[in-house]
Amino acid sequence: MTTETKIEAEPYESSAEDRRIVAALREGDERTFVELVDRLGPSMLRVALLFVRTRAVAEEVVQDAWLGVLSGIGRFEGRSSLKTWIFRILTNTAKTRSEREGRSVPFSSLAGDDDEAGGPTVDADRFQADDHRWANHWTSSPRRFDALPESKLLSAETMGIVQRAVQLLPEAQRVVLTMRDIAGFGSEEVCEALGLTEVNQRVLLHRARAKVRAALEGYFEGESA
Amino acid sequence: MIAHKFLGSDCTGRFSGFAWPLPSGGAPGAWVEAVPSRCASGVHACRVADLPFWIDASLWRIELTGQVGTAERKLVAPRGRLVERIEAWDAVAMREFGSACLARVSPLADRSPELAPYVADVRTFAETGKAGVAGFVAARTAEMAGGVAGYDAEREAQARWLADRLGLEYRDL
Amino acid sequence: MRIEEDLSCAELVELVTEYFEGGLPDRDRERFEEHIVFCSGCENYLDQMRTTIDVVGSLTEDDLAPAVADELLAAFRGWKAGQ
Repeated sequence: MTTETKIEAEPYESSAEDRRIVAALREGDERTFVELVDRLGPSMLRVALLFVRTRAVAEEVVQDAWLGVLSGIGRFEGRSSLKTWIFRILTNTAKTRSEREGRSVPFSSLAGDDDEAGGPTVDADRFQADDHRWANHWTSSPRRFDALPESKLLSAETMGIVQRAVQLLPEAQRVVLTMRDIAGFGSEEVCEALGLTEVNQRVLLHRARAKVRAALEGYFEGESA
Repeated sequence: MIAHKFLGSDCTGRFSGFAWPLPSGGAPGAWVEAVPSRCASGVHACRVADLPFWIDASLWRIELTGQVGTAERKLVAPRGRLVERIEAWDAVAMREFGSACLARVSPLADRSPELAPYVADVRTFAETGKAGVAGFVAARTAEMAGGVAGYDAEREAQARWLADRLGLEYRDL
Repeated sequence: MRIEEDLSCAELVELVTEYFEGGLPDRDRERFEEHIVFCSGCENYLDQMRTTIDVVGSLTEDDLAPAVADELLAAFRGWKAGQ
C-alpha cells in the first residue's frame, strides 16, 4: 500500500514578529523603522543593483521603495511575509525605474541568452570515459569543503573569490542567484518578479551555483597544492 | 510497527542531516514528526530487504506510527522514534558484509573473465570496510553475469546475510 | 540500482539543484539517494554545493550610505506627521 503524502502549500501564516513590526510602524515607531531599514536595506540595495545601472540610482530606488512601504503599510494584510511584500515593492519600483532608464531587454529574454546553452555544469574530463567500466563516474572524488576550518571558509579571501565569481556570471544567472541565495526570495517570487518559468529559473540557478562551486573548488585545490 | 534505519556515525540522517534524538537509559528516543520542509514524504525506514541499499555507519531499530506507506525500497511514515541501536552492526560487521559479497561473486569471474575488474573492485571496497559500495558493486557484477534476476538474487542474499548476522527477521517483500 | 535505471555521477551532478528544490519525482529521488550511498564522490559534491550555497548566502552589501539614511528618516517623520 502506497501513501503518496503530497505536501500542499500551506496558507501563509504571518509570524508574530511581522505582526509586531507592522503594528509598530503603523503607530509611527521610528526605532522599529530604523531597525527594519538596517536589516533589509543592504539586500534591497543589492537587488536594486541588478536592475539599474548605477549605485546612485539603486539608492534612489531603495528609498522610493521604502516610501512605498510606508504608504502601503496600512493596507498590508499579512498574506505574505513582510519581507516578501517589501521586496515585491522593491522589484516593482526597480523595474519601473529601469524601464525609464532605457533598459530595453526584459529578463525573460535574457534567460535564453545563456552561455554553453544546455552543456554540462561539470567538466566532462572529471568523469571516466565511455569505455571505462565505470563510465561517467568520477575519475577522482571531489573533496569536501566543510573539512576546512570555518575561519578559512568565511575568510575575506574566500568571500572575495565568491564575490568575483558571482560578478562574472552571465546576467540572468547572476540575478537569479542573487535573489534566491543572497536576498532569500523563494522560487515562485523570483519567477514572478522576473517573468521566468519555473524551469528557466531552476536552470539559471543551477548553472550559477555550479560556476561558483567550481570557482571555490579551484581556489581550495590551489591553496592545498 | 518496528523497522530499521541507518544513520551516520554522528547519528544524523545522511540526506536530511537531521540529528535524531537517541534512546537512552533503556528508553526510546523522542518521537519525530516528519517535517515537510525537511523531507518531502516523511520519516524513512527500512524493511530488512531494503537494508543493503542504505548501508551507513550505525543501524537502529525504529518504531513507526501513523499510516506507513511503502516506496520502492523503503517505508515512509509520518512519525518515528529510535528504539535501540543494533550494536552488532559495527566496523567488523561491515568488513564481513563486504567479504561475504566477495565470496558470492568471485566465482562469476571464473566463468566470465571480463567481470574480474568488478570483482577486484568488490575486494577493494570490502577490504576498506566500504560495505555499501561493496554491496552495490557485487549486485552490479551479479547483474552483468545473470541479468536482473542475478541482481535481485544478490541483493536478497545481502539482506539475508544481514538478517542472519544481526539477528533480524527477513521477510520477502 | 539495476543497470536499466542507472544514474551516473555525470548525470547526478546535473540534478542536484532539482534535488535541493524538492523537484525530483519520487522514483528519481530514490535513485539519486541510492547513488549517494555507494558514491562518496557524489556525496562530497552535494556537500560542496551545500557549502557553496551557504557561503554565497553570507555575501553582504555595504551598508546604505549615511546620507541616504538621513533622508529616509526625514521621509519617515514626514509620513508620520501626515498620517
